[in-house]
Amino acid sequence: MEQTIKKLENIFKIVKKEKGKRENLNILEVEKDSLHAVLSYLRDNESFKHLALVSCVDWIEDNKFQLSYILWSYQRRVNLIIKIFIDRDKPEFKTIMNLFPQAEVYEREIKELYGVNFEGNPTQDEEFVLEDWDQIPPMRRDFDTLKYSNEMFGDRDSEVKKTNIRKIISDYTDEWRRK
Amino acid sequence: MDIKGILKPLTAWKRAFKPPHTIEVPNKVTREGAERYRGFHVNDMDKCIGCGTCAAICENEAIKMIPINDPDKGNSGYRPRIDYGRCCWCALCVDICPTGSLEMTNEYTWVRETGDEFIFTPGIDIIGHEDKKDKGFKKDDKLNFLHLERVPMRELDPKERTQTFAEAVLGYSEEEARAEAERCVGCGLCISGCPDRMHIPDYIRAIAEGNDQKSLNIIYENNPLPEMCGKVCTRRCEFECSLGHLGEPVAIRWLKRYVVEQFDDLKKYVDAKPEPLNGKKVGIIGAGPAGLTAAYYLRLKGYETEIFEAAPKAGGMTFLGIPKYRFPIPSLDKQVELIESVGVKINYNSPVDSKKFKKIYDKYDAVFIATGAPKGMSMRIDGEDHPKVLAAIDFLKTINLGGTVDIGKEVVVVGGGNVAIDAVRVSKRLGANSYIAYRRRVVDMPADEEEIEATEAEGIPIYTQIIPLRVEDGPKGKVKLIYGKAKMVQEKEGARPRPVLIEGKEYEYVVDSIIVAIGQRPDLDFIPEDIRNKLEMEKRIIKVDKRQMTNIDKVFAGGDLANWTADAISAIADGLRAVKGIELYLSSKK
Amino acid sequence: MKDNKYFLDDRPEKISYSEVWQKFFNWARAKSLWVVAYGTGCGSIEIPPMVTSRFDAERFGVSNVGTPRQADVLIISGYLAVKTLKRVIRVYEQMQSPKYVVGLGACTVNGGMYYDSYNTVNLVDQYVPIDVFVAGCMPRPEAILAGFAQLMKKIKEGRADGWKQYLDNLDKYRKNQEKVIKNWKIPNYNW
Repeated sequence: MEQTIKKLENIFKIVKKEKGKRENLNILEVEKDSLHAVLSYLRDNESFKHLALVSCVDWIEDNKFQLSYILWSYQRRVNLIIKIFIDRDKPEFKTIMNLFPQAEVYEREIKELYGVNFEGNPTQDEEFVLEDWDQIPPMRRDFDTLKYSNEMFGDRDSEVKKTNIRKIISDYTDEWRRK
Repeated sequence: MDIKGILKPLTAWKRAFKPPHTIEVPNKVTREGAERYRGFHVNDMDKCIGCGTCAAICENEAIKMIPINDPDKGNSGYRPRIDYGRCCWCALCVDICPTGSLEMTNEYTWVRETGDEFIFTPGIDIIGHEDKKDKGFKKDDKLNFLHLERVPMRELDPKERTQTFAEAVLGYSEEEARAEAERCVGCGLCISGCPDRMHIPDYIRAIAEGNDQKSLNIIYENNPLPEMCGKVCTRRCEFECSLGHLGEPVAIRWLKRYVVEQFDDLKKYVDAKPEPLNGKKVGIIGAGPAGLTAAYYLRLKGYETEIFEAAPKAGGMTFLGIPKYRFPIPSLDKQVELIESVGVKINYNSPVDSKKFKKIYDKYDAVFIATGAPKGMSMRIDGEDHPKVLAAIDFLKTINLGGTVDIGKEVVVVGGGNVAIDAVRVSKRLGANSYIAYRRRVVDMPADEEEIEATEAEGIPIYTQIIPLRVEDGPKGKVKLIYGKAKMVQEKEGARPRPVLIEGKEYEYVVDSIIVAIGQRPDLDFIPEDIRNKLEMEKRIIKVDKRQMTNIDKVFAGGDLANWTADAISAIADGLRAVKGIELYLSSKK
Repeated sequence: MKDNKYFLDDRPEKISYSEVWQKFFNWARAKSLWVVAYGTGCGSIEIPPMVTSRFDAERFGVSNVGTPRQADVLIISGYLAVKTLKRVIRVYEQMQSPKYVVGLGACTVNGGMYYDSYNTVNLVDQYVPIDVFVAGCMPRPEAILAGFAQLMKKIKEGRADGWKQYLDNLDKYRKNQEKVIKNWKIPNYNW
């Protein structure tokens, strides 16, 4: 695996290298413009024939979305995650359907749950899990899912509020001083 | 033709003679859940303290706390109520329960016709599975979420420490403090024990997060003497700690000590910005914990405060009474420095007499008396005025002020409180062979448990059930304490047993000096007689209302002379209450 | 939607029988509960052991059928996504009266561990009437059998009238359904 990464480093710019939590997992961060080249290199020259998953992470503090492309090599039985960062205000990227056609569904899902637009994916605007969704994409971290759930779907036990025992104790024992 | 294909299905007939595979529930067989099956909850209402840890850990918000009883010390009066429309039977609540009151049965069938019937309070709503409690899921000792054992505190070796006045307890290192702080579950029941209602879970949280300065500032919100508290507090909070039910309570006192010890110059780190002076003046008599607290917080609120202190240093009993191996002078100076830096004026060496009191009374808009309880109580036995009989408080005072007391080679200390322990440990450090004589048993001693242990570790014997009868002259300039043995009589169920003298037999200690430490009382001689006669008293202390106000206009009182608890933290609490009381009084006067 | 020949907008008629007949029908209905094989959540994994030889629910006349038309009981076996809810309503309305609903697990009662999800409904009985709830996450097959025993008891006593209530309060149920299912595209009652 080290050799592959070394070879990759010679050709492309690797922003960051990480070791995964298990032995056969490596994580590489690349520049977003070189992603297609990296993926096609890995697919054609390094036996990473299988795209296992495309996923997205919302880094709201950095104002970025992370797109992760998880590859699997059947020959070498290793996983490789290629990740890129895109701007959160302008969530757009190019589809990788020309390299891995199965990415169509993953991209459609990400489009629905995170609102990332994949240029060149013909079906990405179709409904995937949600039907007639009219809020901001639900997996974005600024979407308050508990509030939405309570308003939309109700709560059988909404009269009894969550209590903070600590506050109750300090209120009770504080005869009058801090009130 | 496939003959096999025709015959093969007929082999199924061999099953006709076997017993059926079906388990006939529920008609013939009732299948009980396995051992440690995670079924429905049961809660032992007497054991439960309503700490809310179960509700806090529940990922599904299935548990809500609802009020059942009145709150009490160490018990919020709230009890968990479980919504089986949310629960997923992960049993995290059972694993985390600090008292072990919440458990599960192995019952798993719960059928109702409407959805509203799935909310129930275990222990109050009886649903008929309570008797299966023994078989269900229980807390596992091997996999315990709670860290029940305290990070041990490093101390000087007992043999070594009897030779010196150096600090006996060494304090936590950073690593130890973080580990100890992480044990806290943050329930807040400790607050119910603290007379000063410190924000204990908050500052422990800050320590666990590694933010010592934040922690320091949280502590300074209502305690201007944290290092003193961190070292010598009676730590009532720790007795209410929810972890204390199954294991050792969180070392709240040592954590506070750790935080303050991290900062040499408190002025730089404590966020204390006094408001501009508003023209009102408050005179404070006595620079003990109560006086210093009141002065510090009144000054922060913009009142001009001036303290009159008889001793050459501030601190009151924490300076004069507490031996230096427990609370060294630099720790005290550090804190007083901060209090003085915000603009509190402390007049040292200026005892107040009745003339001066009149002056103070006329000059200031309000007067706060916090002179404490500087006089030792007497044993009320014959011969007590013997010159070899010392009051413990005078003895400690002299030693702490750097003086010497000739106590000789053999000393008996009468009493069982913290002062008695201090006196006996100090006399041991002065080279005397000293021991304690107490009228009840060791378990009845009002002194701190840890102090008693430390005393025993230092090789100081504690003789119990001893009732002093009289003091006589002994041979060769010695003094004799004649005493009788006592038996413990349980007069009322639940009450503290009373020692009763066994008549007839008398014993004696022949010693060089006797130190009496059976309590102290306030000394109010400095108050002019006309005011003193009007002052409402409650036995030997001043009666105050909940704002620390006495029945005399402008006069507030706090600390040992106005409360029975008589420890530093309740004096600080009195000081804080007086701050609010004085503020209210002065702003309403105008 | 009148032009759609597969759906009927009229509501079903209510036929009442004399009390003796009603009692007989109730007794008969309780003895033969056919369950539509439609799993909605993780609880559907508990239904195969219940109906196969291990617990053999057919002893009680409970068996699986393939279509809503032939079924008496709809088991909502766990959480309902909004998308699934739409299908559940259609299945429920296609079933022939009398029909009963069994809700399995915490999710059907108050949302369960998906209580804060953007896509799962919390209170299923707001959208379809539920006759019996079984607690658990998920309930064991024995508990589901206990739930069926309760349902049979309820039918015999003539109290299992969720389907009647659904017709009587159809407007209320529709309002709740339309609140979560936007762009309601199915007719008013598709039975």
